[in-house]
Amino acid sequence: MNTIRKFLLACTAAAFATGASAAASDYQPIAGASPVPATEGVGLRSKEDLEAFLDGILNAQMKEHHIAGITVSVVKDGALFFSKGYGYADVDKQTPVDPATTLFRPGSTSKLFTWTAVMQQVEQGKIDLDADVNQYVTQFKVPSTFDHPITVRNLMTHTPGLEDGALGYLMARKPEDLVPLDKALGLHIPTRVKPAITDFNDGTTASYSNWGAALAGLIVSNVSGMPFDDYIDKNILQPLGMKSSTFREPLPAELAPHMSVGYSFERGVFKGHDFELVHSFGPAGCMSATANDMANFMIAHLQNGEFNGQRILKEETAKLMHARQFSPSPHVAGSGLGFYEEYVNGRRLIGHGGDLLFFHTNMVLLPEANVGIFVSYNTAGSLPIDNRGDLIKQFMNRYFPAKLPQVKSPDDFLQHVAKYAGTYRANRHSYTKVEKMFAMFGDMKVVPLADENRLFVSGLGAGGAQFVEVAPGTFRAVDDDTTMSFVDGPDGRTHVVGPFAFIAATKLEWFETGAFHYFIIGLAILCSIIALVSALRNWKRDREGDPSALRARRIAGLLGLLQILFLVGLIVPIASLRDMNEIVYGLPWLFHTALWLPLICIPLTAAVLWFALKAWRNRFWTGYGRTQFTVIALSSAAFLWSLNFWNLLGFRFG
Amino acid sequence: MRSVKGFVFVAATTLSLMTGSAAADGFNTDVAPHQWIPGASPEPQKGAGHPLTKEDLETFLDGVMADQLKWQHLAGMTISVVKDGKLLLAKGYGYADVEAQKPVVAEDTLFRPGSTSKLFTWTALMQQVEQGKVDLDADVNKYIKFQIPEKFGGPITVRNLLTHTEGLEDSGFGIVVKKPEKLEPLNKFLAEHMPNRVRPALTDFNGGTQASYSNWGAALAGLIVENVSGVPFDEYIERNIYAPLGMDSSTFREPLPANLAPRMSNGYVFANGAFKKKDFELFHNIAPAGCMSSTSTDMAKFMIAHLQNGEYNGQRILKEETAKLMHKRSLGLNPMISGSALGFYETYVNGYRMISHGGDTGYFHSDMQLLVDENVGIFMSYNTLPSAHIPMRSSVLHAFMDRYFPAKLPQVKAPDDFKSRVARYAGTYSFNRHNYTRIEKVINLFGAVKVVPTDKNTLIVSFGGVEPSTQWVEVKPDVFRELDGDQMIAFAGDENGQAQYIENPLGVPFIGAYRLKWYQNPTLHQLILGFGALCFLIAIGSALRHWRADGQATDGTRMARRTAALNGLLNLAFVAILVVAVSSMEDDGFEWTGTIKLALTLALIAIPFTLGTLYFAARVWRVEPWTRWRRFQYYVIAIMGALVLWSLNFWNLIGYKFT
Repeated sequence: MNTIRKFLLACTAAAFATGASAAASDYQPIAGASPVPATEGVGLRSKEDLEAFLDGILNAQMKEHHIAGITVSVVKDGALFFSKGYGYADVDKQTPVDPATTLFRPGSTSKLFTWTAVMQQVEQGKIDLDADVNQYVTQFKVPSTFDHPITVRNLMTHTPGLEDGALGYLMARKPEDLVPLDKALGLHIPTRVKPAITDFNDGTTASYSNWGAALAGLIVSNVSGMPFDDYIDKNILQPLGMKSSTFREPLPAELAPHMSVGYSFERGVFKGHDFELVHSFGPAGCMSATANDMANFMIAHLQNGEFNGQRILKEETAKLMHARQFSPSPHVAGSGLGFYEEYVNGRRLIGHGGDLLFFHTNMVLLPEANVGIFVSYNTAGSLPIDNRGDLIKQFMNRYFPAKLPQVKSPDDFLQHVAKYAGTYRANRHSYTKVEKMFAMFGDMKVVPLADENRLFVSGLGAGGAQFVEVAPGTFRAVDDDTTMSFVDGPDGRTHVVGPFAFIAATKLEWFETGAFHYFIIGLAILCSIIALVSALRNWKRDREGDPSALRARRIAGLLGLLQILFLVGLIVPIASLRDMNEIVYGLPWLFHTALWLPLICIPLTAAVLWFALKAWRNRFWTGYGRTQFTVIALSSAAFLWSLNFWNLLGFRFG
Repeated sequence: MRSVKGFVFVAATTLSLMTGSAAADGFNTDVAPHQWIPGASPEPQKGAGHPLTKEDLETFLDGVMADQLKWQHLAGMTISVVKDGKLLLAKGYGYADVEAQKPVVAEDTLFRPGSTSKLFTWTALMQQVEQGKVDLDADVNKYIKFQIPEKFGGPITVRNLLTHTEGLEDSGFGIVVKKPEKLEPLNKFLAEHMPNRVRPALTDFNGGTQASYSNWGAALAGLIVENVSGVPFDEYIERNIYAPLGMDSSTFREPLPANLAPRMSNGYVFANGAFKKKDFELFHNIAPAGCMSSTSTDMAKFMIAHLQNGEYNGQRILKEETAKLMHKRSLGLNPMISGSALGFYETYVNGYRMISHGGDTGYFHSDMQLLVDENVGIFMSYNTLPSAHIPMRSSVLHAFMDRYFPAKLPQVKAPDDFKSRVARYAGTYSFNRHNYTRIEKVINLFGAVKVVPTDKNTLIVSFGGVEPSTQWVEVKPDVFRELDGDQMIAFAGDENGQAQYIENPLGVPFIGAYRLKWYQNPTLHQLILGFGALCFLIAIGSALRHWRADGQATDGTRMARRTAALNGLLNLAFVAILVVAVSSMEDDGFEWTGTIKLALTLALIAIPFTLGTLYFAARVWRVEPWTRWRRFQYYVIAIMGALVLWSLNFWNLIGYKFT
């Protein structure tokens, strides 16, 4: 905890120094490493060509990855160029997906509507991008943890420095569990764990925040004086003629029959799931829409605010929103306001993906060609998440190809990449609540490969990827244009920024790594078993010896038992979940109950430590026995420290 | 083996009751036609598909391959599609050489078709049948210099080879070598690596229960061609198939001839985030079973020749009637599932019949599918070991069929009374393609096929820890269809009301599965070996702890713990050395190393100690020098030691069972 506080102080100092918001620097491609866009044979061809091509990709994806249904729309030059449904909206009833009528859940792609609404209010002068968000929030106050406040611009670039949180409140199982937006936000204010940035060339603290996006929706509602859903209906959906779209939950009666079922593929069959409820944090991602409706929204943005004679944004507002406003490094993708950038085949894309449990969505605009793609999958899984990115890549390769230069790291590579080697963790996780424990898994390891002069990065896709240094501190994947930079942050640590601007990763100290805590927990399990077995085995014999030694062994045995029971109570309910993601609905009762155990362990651990000292002083047992007991005592203490590190000591819920 | 004998008996009885179509020499080669199942089989929607044009196909495949290559991390692939006697499309995707950024070019880049090469061997064999030099129903021993031993009262016939029904165990030893100098002449290699006959060769091709894929058998067919024609196999294929078809970029030779070598695609694995290049694979030891190298455009010529019943470009490689005989359904384990032709196996997709052959080397994965009634053929080959358990070839085939030859798939409902029949099917099976009599059998320790009923009256068939991709619905007695697809499996045999075989568990008639007895169940052996290892550790720990005390014992238990510990140590060392030896082998085949022999020797040395531990167990029982708990612990250790010995012997790990 101390370290965090120290680094927080350092950050505040940095904020003072820089003063007011700095403009984001332009994106700079790297000569000889960034893809060189083709100049001939560029652009969409016929509708037939696009259809046959997408048929190929999406049929292969559905078959190989067990996806029930997909909806897709492509716009070009202000009109719907192509849209098509694949597979089923309802597998049991064999209802096919229809891009014009079947509703999918865009998930976080809905945020683009919220951000557009914010910009409408900015345009009307009711919101200042650089004002303290507290200026627009009457229902509660975002704490002033740091000197500089969180601004609206921070929300739009996911740089408010908020911790992530979701457990038990982001999604609801039943409609009656939904909470009004202002109430939900006020009840679950995340802790500010890093200062909100003022220099938008610093991406090291970026951490995607659903709460922040939902807060933006509340601000729109507050300054416009309208409930958020009504506001979106009146100011975006209606002007764009998006008749089959809504933020409302449960779905209005006229739309409900057209909603696609969300699926998971389990034991060889598709399993349908109930409509997912996200309305408590609606502006962050609770929309339902058809692909054809989403096409209208894409056209409006590609035409800088205008659709079919209607305007949802002034041209300059739209341009401001789309321009690069946040630059974690000049060589990696940054973001506009709400839209994030991707650079594929040397061309700039802006868009937003979205994931619910069972829907995976992507919306990508290629402004330079006036082309946009929307795609949504109705089946859970990591593969559909990869698929939606792959689809864009394949689309670009066919219609906007580029030559990817072959790259080689400089010869002195190994000398200066040593400082990047280590273990990193994505910033987006909880810091102060029990859900921090999920951050223990999935650390990203950066390992220099001496033979190839490459950096191996694990935890990025299946099996990891290899990177070549193409500019000092900037690395490109060996065989594609994925690019990331290592940047020293104001906190004195090294960070990875890019390819996704809204989540940076932070280098960990050795004692913060998942691997170290696996070791502590593994050792604790082993020592617990030994302590327990030793107490039982010597049950009779101990009665004849020193009563202190008897107490020592039995208390250690009891502590071992409690530690094992706690881990069982922790792991069993989580492991028995069908899908890890379902944890978002909250932890099972057994888990809550199990949290009492470590509290009981505290005095026992203290006692065992004291007995360990006493064992040496009073010469209990043999030297081997004393050593064993000491190891058990130290291991239990380390275990408590680890539990506290992951917020498992006490009941720290968000 | 008793059940196998029973099966022969039943088969013979059935034969004698047959209509008389059975040949006089006891074979039934009259195979019933494939039967569709109304209400369950797909109904082709003729005319509803996209027109199969070059442009549409190319764009569609561009999409399919863009997806596959990217997410499955496949370096490159080549594909050719023929239609109406012409090449419709041939295209390469990705790289033949990733480092050098050399793209795959369909006309130029050579791939390894693997077992798809067998179709050339089978074609050559049929040429010799046509010339009267080979009789399909003759004993293969008639055509070879060494002899396959007499067993099960009947010979292996040429037809058995063509349908993989010769009843041979599988064996991979020695097939792949590292250096060309290690390659041996076909006759020598086959004679020295003869697998054992583990089932009677099939005589009833219309009602048998088991086919089991054999590379050795296919290679033997090549040897027969060589023997009866008097021409070395490689040369025979060049003269009698490549030359007439104009396949100038194909060869069975290894290493590759100098003119072809530079055009060969690398093989790849994707590991640690990058493609790793692999050496040209050498398996000419069983050349006719799969060592060809070829381009997809050359393979297109071969496809056209078969689709046109032997003729290509005015040249004939087979007479029309021979080709038709070769393509005809010649093995039907169940009339409602795919069987095989001669060499080709059948694939049914969307209600269309295809004759086919896939092929896998360590890195190359190929497939050839001929839609004989539509005069359309597809060949594809990938050059990378896929990183996921995804059937990429079948997904291309199904995507192709759905687009150009679509069908309506009737929805099937699992019968409500299926529960009453579930016991017949549920249980643990094993693929029959494995080794039975040698150390290689141990691979099957991880190869159980599990048939599990669901509460929805369907079955899940799973193997190797792979997530099941479908559930199976009973559509006819013993016949099951995929819940959402058109693939079929069947069960066969009966013992105490339980089916004994699964036909087509992998969608191919050449590999079946058989029900395991309880003592064959890999899970039992995993438990014995796992718990045994724990006991061995305890035995060692216990001996060390009591070393001094034991040394002073005078009641005859002095050596008890030490014997058990030594037994444990030997066994653990055996396993450790074996695991290290096997895992340090490259993934391209087995080789007999001194390390493995050392390991096996340790297992042999352990036997007297296993027995010694049992002896002491009996002794401590009588002498009773120990507490009850100590004795109990020792008995468990002794019994587990004996069980481990039994289990090791079951997997052919006791003794040097190499050949």
